[in-house]
Amino acid sequence: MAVYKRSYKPYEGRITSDRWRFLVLTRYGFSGLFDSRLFTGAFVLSFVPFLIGFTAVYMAHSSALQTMLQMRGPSPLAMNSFFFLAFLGFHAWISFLLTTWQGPQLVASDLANNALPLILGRPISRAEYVLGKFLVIATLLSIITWVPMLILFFLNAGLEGNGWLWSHLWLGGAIFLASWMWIAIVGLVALAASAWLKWRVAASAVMLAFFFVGPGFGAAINATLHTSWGHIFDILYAVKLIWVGLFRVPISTAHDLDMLGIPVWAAWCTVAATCGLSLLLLNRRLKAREVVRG
Amino acid sequence: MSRLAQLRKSFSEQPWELWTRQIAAILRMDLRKNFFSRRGIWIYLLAFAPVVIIALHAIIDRADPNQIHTDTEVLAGIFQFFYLRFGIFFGCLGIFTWLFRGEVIEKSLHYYFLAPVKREVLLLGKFLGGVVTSVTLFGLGVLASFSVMYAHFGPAGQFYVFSGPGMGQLLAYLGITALACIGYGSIFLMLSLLIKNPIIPAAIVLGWETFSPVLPSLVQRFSVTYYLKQLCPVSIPADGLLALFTVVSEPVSTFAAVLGPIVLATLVLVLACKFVRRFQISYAAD
Repeated sequence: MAVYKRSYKPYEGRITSDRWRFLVLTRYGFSGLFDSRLFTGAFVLSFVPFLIGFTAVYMAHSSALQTMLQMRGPSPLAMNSFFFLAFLGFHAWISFLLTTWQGPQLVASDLANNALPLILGRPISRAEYVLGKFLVIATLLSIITWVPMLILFFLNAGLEGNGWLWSHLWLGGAIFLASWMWIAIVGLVALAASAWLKWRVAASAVMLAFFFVGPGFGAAINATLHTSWGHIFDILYAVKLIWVGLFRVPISTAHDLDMLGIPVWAAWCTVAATCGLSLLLLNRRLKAREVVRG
Repeated sequence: MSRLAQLRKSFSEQPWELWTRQIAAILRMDLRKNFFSRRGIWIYLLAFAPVVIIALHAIIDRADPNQIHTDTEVLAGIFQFFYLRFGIFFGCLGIFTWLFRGEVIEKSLHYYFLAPVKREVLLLGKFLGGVVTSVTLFGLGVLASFSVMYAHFGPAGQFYVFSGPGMGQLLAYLGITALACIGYGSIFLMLSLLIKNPIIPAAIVLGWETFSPVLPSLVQRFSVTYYLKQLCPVSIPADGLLALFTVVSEPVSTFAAVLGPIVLATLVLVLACKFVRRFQISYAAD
């Protein structure tokens, strides 16, 4: 239908307060994400590891179930920091794939359809725009990462008893902090990629390449220049290194896993640089005007 | 007339000359787009990033002729771990998915479809354009890496390349690069025709190519890297966690290893030719 043939009428619904207006973007962002049935299916399937973890925690504490399954001797399911780290790692990968798939459309579609000037023409600042979009990814990733992990943590605490919760409260903090660090990295990289590439497939490809080419590039530097500082270009290595510290993995195990290539502060610098660079790119790209060359 | 004779007659009656001219025209247009667009800068970065690192190594490290063996292994590592696994993979992902989807994004595919060109010819022309671009860029990247690596050894390096095994290794690397571009290129072209957002299948292909060494020997044969790894002139032992689970498979002959990616690409292109006939343009937001 031609634009002049459309009839318009003023909005008569309830107006969101100024402070929370950016949440309108989050709401619409969510509805856009779940437009795809395939994505919704994948989102539901992403809880399968959580269900496995839930069963494992229950089994580890149910002597009746262990007897029924004829499990003798010490339980093979040890509910320690490794267990939570492994499950968090698995969930982090799933959340990364889901963000790579649909995340870049959040900003790219606004840019491709010239909607950004219209949005920023309303009483929404650029920071609020980024926050509104980021919250879409942050909420999605929270549901997949720290929320199910904390459910497992509290389930284990409840079944374990004897003050396990208080003696392992640091583990809950580690789960929360590690997840939010991952959410910040993935979310900001996804937004930056989608802001610079109007084609969301290209944005997804760049996101994938950013996480996978870095390790290859870092390994090339390490092998050629006989150093281990090449790992600073590998964001996945930095994340793993920080997680190993947060989950108090013994030094010997970390050494065996080749996780001591760079100091932890350097890993934090890599994470900070990634987030900072993403914010810088977003700041440069998200303007309420567009320069048309030629 | 027998069926074979009929087929031969029909084959000779096809307008091969016209199709060749059309392919050449499409190739010219695509090469201009691929090589001279700002969009493709990151592919140059992917192809030439190792050259910068090797140049740094050449400047920092003293040229000791006894180090040639070590540097050969380092170069092999860079080729296998950077170029084969990531550089060429992502380069081809960028180049080949753009061939048709890019035209859809730029709303220009209908010009091709309205021209009196068979869609199969268009597909082959575009595929050839992608192959020439990727092979040229990554081939030059590998050539530059190789040259810088051995140039800093002076006469010893020159002797290694021209009178030793160096030239054979260089040709092998260039050949593997070309085969990788053909293999990955055909897969990504097909994926871009089939699916609107081929990133998740591409991530699955990346996972398959990375973790296929831990799978049974028979299953490994369905990956591009299985064939290409066997053609590598210098083998690098796997290390880390993956090495524990790596299944050592029986090597295939060099001829079969070369033929593997080509056969795969041919099969995929035949399928893509069938599919492109039914391809419908939708300029809805991608």
